Amino acid sequence: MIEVEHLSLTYHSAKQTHLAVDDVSFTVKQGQFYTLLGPSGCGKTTTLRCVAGLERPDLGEIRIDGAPVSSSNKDVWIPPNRRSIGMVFQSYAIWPHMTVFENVAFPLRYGVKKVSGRDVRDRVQKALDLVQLGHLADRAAPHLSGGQQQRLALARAFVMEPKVLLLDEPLSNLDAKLREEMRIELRHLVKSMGVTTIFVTHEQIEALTLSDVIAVMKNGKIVQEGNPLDIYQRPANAFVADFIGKSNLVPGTVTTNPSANGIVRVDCAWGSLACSAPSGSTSGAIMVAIRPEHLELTPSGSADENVLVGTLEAAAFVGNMTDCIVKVGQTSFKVQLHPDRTPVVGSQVSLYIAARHCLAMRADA
Amino acid sequence: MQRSTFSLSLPKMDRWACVMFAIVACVSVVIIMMPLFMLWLSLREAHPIEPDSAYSFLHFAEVFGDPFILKVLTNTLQFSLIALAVGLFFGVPTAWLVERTDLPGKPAVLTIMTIGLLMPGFAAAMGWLFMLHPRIGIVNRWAMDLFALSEAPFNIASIMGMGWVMGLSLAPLAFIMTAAVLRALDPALEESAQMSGAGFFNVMRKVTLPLAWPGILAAGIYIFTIGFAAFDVPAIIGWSNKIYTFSTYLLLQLSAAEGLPRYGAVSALSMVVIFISGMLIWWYSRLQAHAHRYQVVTGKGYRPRTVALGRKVWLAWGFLGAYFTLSKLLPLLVIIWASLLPYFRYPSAAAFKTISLRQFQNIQWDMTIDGIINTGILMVLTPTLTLAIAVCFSWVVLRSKIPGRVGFDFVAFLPHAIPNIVFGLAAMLFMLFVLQRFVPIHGTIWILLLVFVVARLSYATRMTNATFMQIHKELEEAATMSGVGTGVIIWKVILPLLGPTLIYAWLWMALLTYRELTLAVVLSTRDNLTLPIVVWNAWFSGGFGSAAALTLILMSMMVPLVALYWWLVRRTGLRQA
Repeated sequence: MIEVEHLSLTYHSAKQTHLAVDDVSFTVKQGQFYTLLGPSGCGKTTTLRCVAGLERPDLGEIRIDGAPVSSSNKDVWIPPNRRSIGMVFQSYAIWPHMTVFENVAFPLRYGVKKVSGRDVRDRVQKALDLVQLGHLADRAAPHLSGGQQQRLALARAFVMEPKVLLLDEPLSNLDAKLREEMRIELRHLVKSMGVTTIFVTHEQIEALTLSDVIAVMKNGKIVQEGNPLDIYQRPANAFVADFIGKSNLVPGTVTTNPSANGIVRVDCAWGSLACSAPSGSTSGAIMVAIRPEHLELTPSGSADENVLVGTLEAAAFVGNMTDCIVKVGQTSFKVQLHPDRTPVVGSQVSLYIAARHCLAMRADA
Repeated sequence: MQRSTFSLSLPKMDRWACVMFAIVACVSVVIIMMPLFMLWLSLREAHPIEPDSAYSFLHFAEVFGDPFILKVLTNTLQFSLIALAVGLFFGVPTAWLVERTDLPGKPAVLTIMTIGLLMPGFAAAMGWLFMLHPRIGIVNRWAMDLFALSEAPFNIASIMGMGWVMGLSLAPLAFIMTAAVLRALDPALEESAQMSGAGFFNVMRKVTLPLAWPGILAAGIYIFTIGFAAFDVPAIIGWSNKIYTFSTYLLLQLSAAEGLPRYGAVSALSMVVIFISGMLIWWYSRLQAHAHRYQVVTGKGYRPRTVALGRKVWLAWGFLGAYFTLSKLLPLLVIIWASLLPYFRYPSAAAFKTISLRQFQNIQWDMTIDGIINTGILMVLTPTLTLAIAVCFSWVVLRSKIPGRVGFDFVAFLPHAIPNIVFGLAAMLFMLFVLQRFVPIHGTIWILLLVFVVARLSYATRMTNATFMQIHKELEEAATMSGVGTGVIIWKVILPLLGPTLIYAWLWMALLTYRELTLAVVLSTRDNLTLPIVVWNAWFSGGFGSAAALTLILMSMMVPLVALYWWLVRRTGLRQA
């Protein structure tokens, strides 16, 4: 549905040039919810704006429904207002001088595909009903709450019935509770419309709960692409492991070839660990990623391998668990323990980690 | 993969974008051509109508070698320094009273300042001339009678006197600019000094003034630049007494009775003046950038510490009242007095007997009505066109992706660095020797319209730029994604959002156009008279009473416009002014 090939864009300013998007390629299938996830400045928004046509890439090709809308080789350029793409902006971009109705009617009245007067009313009403704003049609747009403005932005993007929907951090301006509600609603709305969606966010939890496919970006490149479970459980490198969820990252050296079930032995500062290598062949200097929730308390003196012995340095009760810091040798580990089973600070603890949760990966992104 | 030239090609623009770009490009060419043509004239040895000529700095040597021209330049500097001192003397305390004290009735200050707009500079100059003229001045005659003096104690027809009158009319600007500086100072800085045990005067001396200094200095330079370029006050008071500043001297040279006008020397002097004025503007913008460093942006509404005036409130209002009386009330009364007499004389029982409305009846009504019609047309068209062009400039500079777009912003600011009289002169010469061949508009109101629009473009683009920057770019991008082109974005999104700024700027420019004398004076003929020019002509043909009557007509016709302006500014608050 959407194919992006070898996309590159460099920003030029007076003092420097900045390669914002660096040879990015990906494909979004019909009806898929595709997320570009990464820290600020990673190029995710620029990539999205290239698809929208609001930025013009230096290199590469973008095809929608098989037809190129932007191509450096064929010198094709379809301006953004002719691409029939719905877009929701981070600021919502609700026009403050119009009513709710006028905001939604705008694309139908002035857009490329103009609609006659009667149909405008019906389609706007339908779009507003869809986002539960039907009763507020005549209200002045600035008089809406944050959540309502966000729905209005969605209705305006939907009203043209676009084949492609672009969402640029649409939830980032909402407060925490509203954000959680809108997350569920957004997925429901998009899926019920069957519209192919690209979503940009820096919030891993939004990416994990909403997406069919996540592409994690760093420094203008996609560093890993996969479904949410894959990305979380089998991060391809230390950056992804740390960015998606929390991870303890420990440097080490692989000393053996992978066994039949893919386990390798890794020498770390305090001893040896049995690790799995989800991203395939791994050798030499690597990083080991261990998620805080995968470390379990075990009776001391247990002979099992993959046991870390250290001192509980700090513990903070956060409700459903205790965030702890355990010092093993010179390394501090983040550990999440059950509140009922958290030992006294200062005591010695033994922590077990299963080999399948001990992930060996390339250190660089 | 091969790197293509894709990114270097011009952005493809739709029809409206091309139209706006074309407008900006054409206007820019006109703006640049005017001073360039003047530069060419200043370097050309022969008169412009001669086909061939050598090029040299001959005319510049002429300017710097002429002791009279150097005298004119020192006159101008003295005049603007005195004007600045007087302006700050009245403006700065007023700003402090409004911003940092519990002065009751602050909105009245705004009203006073707005009513002051009714009085154009040339009207105040007339009033002061009637009061302090060495021979006929009312105050002089009174003083002479009262103290049995043999000589008039005051002489308004001097650099000092002209500076005084100019300073009075610059005080509102000094007030507005200083008030902005004080407002931008975080009162917490003063409060913490107070908490450290410093008293009122120490806080003032050690914290408030040092922090406000860059801003006040910048305001000072700005005001000095305006005084430097002033025309109407030196023209009304100085001309007939043969005291010239450069702006009146330029006009004198053009209207020289004997021989051809010295276009070369006039252009050379203009270039010198543009250079001085440009340096001042550059210094101002440097300081402005510096001043912003101290500014603590306070989005939150804060209540600055106000000084309780107590009984001194009478002193404060006395000060403000004195300013109002001196700058507006007295000149107005004297003008009314002059308009009622067959010839100007000292108020006495005999004089009262001659009071009549004959001056109003004897006005040359045919010319006056022409002037009113022309002024009306210009007053509507100038702000409208200027704002339309300014929106195009702002769009190209801030929103398009045209390479080199920032250059257009510089071009739009260029007229600001050129004193109005020089600008009018440049336009006149350009018109006379170049443009007349293609568009014969010399002597029509269209040449006035062209010059008024270009001269006001600096102000208009500052206003539209500032508002444009406050419009979130995504509001326009959302429209683009809705499938519309640049035209719909301009009409349906940008213009409605710019609305309040446009209305305010329109009114302000309409007011300025209505009372504009300087730009019109160079370009006026019998066929494109404006109302201020009718007043000017009456004054110079010696009809003081008739000029006074015409001034009153001009001022009374301004009342609705000023009232509208007052209402608008009162609604949005002093801040916008």
